[in-house]
Amino acid sequence: MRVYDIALKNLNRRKGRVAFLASALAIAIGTVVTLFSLTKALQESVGAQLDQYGANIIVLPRSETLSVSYGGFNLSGISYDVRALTDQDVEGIQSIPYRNRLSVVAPKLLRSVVLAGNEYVVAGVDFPRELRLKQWWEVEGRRPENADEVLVGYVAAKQLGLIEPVAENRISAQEHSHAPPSGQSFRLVARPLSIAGRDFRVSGVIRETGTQEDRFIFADLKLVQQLFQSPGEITLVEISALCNGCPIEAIVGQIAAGLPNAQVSAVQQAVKARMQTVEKLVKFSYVLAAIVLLIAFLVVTVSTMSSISERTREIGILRAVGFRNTHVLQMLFTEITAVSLLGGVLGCLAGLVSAVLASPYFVEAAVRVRPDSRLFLVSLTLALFVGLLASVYPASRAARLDPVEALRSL
Amino acid sequence: MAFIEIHNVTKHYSANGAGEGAAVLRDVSLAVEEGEFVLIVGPSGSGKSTLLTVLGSMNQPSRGHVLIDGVSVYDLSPERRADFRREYVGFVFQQLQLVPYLTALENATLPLSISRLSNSAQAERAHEALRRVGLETKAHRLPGALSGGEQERVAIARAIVNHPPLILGDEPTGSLDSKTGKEIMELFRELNQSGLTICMVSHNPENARYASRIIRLIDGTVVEDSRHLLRTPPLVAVNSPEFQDLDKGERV
Repeated sequence: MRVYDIALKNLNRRKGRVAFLASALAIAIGTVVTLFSLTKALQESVGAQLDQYGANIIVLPRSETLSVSYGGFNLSGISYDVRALTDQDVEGIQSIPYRNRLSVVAPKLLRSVVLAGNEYVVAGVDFPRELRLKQWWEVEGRRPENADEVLVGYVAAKQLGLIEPVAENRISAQEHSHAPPSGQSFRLVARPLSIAGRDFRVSGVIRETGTQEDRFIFADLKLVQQLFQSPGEITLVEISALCNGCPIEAIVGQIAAGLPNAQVSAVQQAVKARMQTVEKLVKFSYVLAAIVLLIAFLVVTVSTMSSISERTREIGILRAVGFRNTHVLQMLFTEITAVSLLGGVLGCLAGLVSAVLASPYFVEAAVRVRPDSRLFLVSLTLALFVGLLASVYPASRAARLDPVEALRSL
Repeated sequence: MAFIEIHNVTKHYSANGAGEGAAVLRDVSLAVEEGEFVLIVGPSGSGKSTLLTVLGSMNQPSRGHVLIDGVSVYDLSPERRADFRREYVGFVFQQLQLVPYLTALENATLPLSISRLSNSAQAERAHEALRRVGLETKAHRLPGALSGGEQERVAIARAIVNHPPLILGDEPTGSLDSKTGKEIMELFRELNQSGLTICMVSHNPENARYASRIIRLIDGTVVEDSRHLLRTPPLVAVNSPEFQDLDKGERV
């Protein structure tokens, strides 16, 4: 028989007390696990929603001239780029160490054209990427499916006579969107659009966005590069980084390191807003977790004090037969370790189940609470920490118990 | 040098841990030879149990020295003193002295559980101790399933399992009926005859017949130390005037 055998036999005898202590710890750990699981899911949910707001990094060629504003960013003069970006630069962006954090990398070639006496911007884009990035676009008509199809901004379409009032056939680029149509109702006029001597079919018109994109004509990137004799050339790259807790500055740094000719900027305002939201959630969960753990700490302390008081006689006997203080401590800490581990395991499981059950009320269905081995380890560590810390004072009092005083209770 | 030597031991208990309270033992000096069976008698509050715990290296005296087998036990650190207690002293108390959730065998094994002996060696020695007290067949019973006398036997088994040279008993027959009490005292006598030194506090005058020496305390002072008694029982007739004199002031 060893000291831990004595401890385990005592636990076996005091099943009620073990159940009480383990439950107290399990409730605390369970609450913490639920809180953190939900917070994490909320972070992902909020992050996913925020990531849909568009680009948060923009890559421009290094240039002395700034003359065009696009999407809230100042762009270098289209005609005066010193060293233009290329398709290879886009590939470089997609191979940075943080590439798995990049949601969309959307390159563009911008060229100005004059049509019917008005100046417009032709934007060569990769449509699948662009539409994924600009999820707020509402397209009247349909998305381009061929290289000779274009999307036209609302103002441009209106000025070029590509639409006429009252139309019904509207689709949204945002899948599963049930948002009502915005702005004036119109329909497409089936007529080709000639750009740089080539006819394009207008597959759709983007409803009014209130930005310069309303005067843009979006066409296939390769075709625009070919039309304007700019093979492989890129004017700018818009990037949507999944910044749900990601180090945006590090991503910017990695892109900049790979593209010495480029100017890489983070959209600080959006990033800061995201980070603030996430930080508030985390702080809130920290405060709640601390309160719950403090309550558990007090419950364990009081219960252990009471238990040791009941066991004064037993401790006196052990001391009389030659147990050292350290042996008594070893016995008591073995007991609390076993109870804490039990509470930790039960708490972790209960917390995960609670989080899964509660998650539909807090987060989108797409974001799921997932079991995490690290969370399990953290739960056990936390339960052990609380249990052992709460037992330090009662156990040290028990170990210092005068055997003669203890035996007087015989 | 005697096996146990107590030199001018005084013990005060203070009510709140501060200052010196009333003296429970006053300048007590004793020498106990190896193999003696010492019965400590005296009225309640005379300091008998205190003297026993001082002898058992559990109760630091306020003044004076205690030497057991030449070791000044209170000069040892508390941890070393616990080790010394485990090796040298076996305690037997009056009642409620077993750990309730351990079987008779496990209770007997307690002092060995912190030794380096293997589990099998521990069990073997505990079985032997239980066999010695005639309780081998009930080794796996919990204390609640044992009679008072059987519990006392388990306590004796626990006291001897480590083969200590000194057994201390604090009224070990106090809660037993006279028949069971005699059986327990017979056990103590056997242990004494096998060479163990026994110091026992008792109110029961009948136990005097088993002792080779009777020390009487009154108000913390040794008022009588009778070494003339022989070891072969009955040493003193219980109803003899000699014993009545020894246990004056107590129930007889």
